[in-house]
Amino acid sequence: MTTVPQPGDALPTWTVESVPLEKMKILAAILRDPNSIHWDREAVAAKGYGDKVINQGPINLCYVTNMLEAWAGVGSLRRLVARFTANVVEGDHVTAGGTVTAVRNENGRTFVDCDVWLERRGVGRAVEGTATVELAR
Amino acid sequence: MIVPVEEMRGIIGHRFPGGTYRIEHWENFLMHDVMLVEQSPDKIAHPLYFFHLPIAGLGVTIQDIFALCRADSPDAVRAGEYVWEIERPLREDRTYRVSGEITDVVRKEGRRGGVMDLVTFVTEISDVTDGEPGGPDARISNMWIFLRSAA
Repeated sequence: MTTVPQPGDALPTWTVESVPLEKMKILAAILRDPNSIHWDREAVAAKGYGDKVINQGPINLCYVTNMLEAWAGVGSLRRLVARFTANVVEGDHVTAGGTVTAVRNENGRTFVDCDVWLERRGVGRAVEGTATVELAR
Repeated sequence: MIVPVEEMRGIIGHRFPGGTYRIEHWENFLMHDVMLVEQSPDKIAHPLYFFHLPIAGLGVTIQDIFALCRADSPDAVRAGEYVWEIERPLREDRTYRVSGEITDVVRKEGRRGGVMDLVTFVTEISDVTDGEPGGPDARISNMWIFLRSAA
């Protein structure tokens, strides 16, 4: 980032061309997550949720933090409020984006507030929320 | 039969065992791999840990939380709203103390989802690698939705 952001600025987007099933399985193992909709295609179908494995909500959310850190720097996140508005499934094309809503200076530190989201192509928003990042001094 | 709301509200104030969790390089590597990004050279943990630590560090599993909240089944649970307040990023090779409790249970009835309980648990994460910290590194509020079946 070379200039101080201004309210209304669009954040550079961050895109996943095709959400990978393999990563859902790795995270399910790390988290010891028993929910088979995140790792078993047949189980998803048996439950009537279609024929594609459903991405974990925290991965969807962290596509947004990837977008923020790619813009403001690794370790810059200070606050995130988010809710989940749609599922993302294997093979989906998703894009994380945001808009600056305020820039605040407090005790020599600069904070940028943003509206943020994750857009699932052809469906709409899968994550919506607000975030605050701290700019490096 | 749907679990009575009084019984669900009885878990408000439930404190989890709590405990400590050390962020190891191998796990942080895999977290970055899951998130499709390269790890930074300064050993900063991926923000995905703000979901992982509040469970793993509490001394419970996701299944334990499902049981406490009387989940009908694992797939009857949905992510609700997450609020992450972060003082500083988490790092590899550091040990964090995690403490937390159930702070709220709200029963709602949706047009599509039917009866559901919105359960919020709040955790504090503090770096104790070098002794007692001055304050938490992060405060995490996670709200999960438990769909209730009348069957």
